[in-house]
Amino acid sequence: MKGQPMKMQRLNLQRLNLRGGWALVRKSLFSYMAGRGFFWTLALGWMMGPLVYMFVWTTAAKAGATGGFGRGDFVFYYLCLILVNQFTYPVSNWTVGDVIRSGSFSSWLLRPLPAIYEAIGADVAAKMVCMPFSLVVVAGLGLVLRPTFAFSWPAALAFVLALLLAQALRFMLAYVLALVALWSQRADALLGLNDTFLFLLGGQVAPTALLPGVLQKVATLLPYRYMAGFPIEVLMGRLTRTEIVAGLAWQLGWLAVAVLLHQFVWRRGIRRYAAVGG
Amino acid sequence: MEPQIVVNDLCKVYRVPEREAGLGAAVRSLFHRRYRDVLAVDHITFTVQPGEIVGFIGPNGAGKTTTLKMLSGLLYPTSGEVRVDGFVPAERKPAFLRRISMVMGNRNQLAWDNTVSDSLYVLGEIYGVPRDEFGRTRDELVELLEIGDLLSKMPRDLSLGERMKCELIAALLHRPRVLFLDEPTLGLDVTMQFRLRRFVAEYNQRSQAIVILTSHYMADVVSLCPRVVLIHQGRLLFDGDLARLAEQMAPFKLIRLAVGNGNGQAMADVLPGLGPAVTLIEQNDRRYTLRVKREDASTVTARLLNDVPLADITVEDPPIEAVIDQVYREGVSG
Repeated sequence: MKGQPMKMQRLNLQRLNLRGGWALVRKSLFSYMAGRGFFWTLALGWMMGPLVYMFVWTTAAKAGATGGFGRGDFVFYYLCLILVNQFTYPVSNWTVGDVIRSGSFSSWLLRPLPAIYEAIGADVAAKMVCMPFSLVVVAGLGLVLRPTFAFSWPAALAFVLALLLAQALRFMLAYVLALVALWSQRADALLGLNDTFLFLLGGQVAPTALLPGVLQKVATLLPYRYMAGFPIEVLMGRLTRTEIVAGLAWQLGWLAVAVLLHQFVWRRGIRRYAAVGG
Repeated sequence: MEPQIVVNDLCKVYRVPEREAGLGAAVRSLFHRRYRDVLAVDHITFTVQPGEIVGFIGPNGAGKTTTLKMLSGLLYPTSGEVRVDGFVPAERKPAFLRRISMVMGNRNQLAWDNTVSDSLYVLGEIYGVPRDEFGRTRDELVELLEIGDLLSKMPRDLSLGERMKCELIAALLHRPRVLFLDEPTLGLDVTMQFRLRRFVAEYNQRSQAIVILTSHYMADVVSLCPRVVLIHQGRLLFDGDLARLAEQMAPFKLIRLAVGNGNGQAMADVLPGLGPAVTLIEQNDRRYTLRVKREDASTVTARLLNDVPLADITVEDPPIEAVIDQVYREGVSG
């Protein structure tokens, strides 16, 4: 009986197959490095949106602070958004739907590890390739545009926690939407809609604090703010401790919903999967 | 001996959307979608013993690949029972997936942008192959298929045949106990087909793994599969050895003969008298091929030997392709 917990632990680890999961990260990393130019261009493209909003808002702030945001605040917010957006962007989920539709999803299903590992591996690898590039660009922009911010360790620690939860939440929700392709063969439209909501309510087009009354209320209730804008608000020190705790609770709550949705969609969807074309 | 694969009364029904042609029908289908149930596999039952090589044959859309997909856990059966090596495939337990492997014409195990060597390494890690065993197995398989010079290349730069050889190695790295091959030689030249067949046979002999193969090339089936399972319109029409398939499915023999110089007229005179059971299916100068009912073959041969001065005569079973073709077109006879 003494050996039982150790055996159980080994069995669980074998079931998790972390060795295989890390190998998938390496596989994607090799692929991305082979076409790194493409990914850097992609990363540059992802920066364009936040940069445009930044210039719009900093121009507006020349007349005076808007909703408590001065010019330097907007610069800081949007430079952070570039990094947060890249860190949380679920790059692989656009391909999951295609993989299902083409039938190559079968390859994922025949391997002794959860299918979600392929998407996670591709995502982790994309961040490893893109983030250093984005960090350099953002650091350069920071030197030129002079953001204003007040650093504090508690805010930085809370930011890291909020960022990790934002990444997990954004990934899981997009993955669940991509799995809808198990029924409909097409998940692109849903993923596009998801991105639009994120653009409007996630703190991209404007920090959620600047949204008009009803929209601000809606943004607090829906998951999108917690996928991008919330971690930056935490880092900027604009939230009280209670608001931070409430935000983290919302993140955990929505993450739990996304995980449960995944279980539901996966179990039903995999029975529907027709394994088209071999 | 306990069978390693048990398939009992297996069925698969696909629900497929359908509509008439044209824009109007397309618009109507936006609001009211019609579905049709297609019975792809119809109450199939068979077992496979350890170490067997079984060929699944049948025309396009017969249900071969659907059956393979249910055996490998890719598809949930609509009804019936499947057990492979003690597992229910549709549960897709990791322990089950480590025991099987599947090679399909359009399924790529190798990552397009990784070198073959990197891809094999990744697969070894995914299947948890011990590192020293991985090196040994890979080297052994690379030597068997002679692909040493391909290891540093990207799969996208390989020819179809080269890629298929690499795919086979990728599929065998974890030494599966059951190997599903769906059209493994599709699009390959004759030499490559021959080498792949030889390789599969060697793997089967060495590892005693079950090999289940589907192929439209009868040469694959003839050279590899002592046992064939013939599936047509979802139903299992025949399960047994290949020679018996010809006997059972084609109740006729072929008589090939050549008449001596200047004896063409003698043959022309005799032919109508051989009766309706004999059909002339080919004539090329002095060479004739006759199709004769199996039970009449000896009588007709004796009559020909007596009445026509022959230069040569052979009596043989029809080529397996012809038998299969007949079954596909006409269904099972006799």
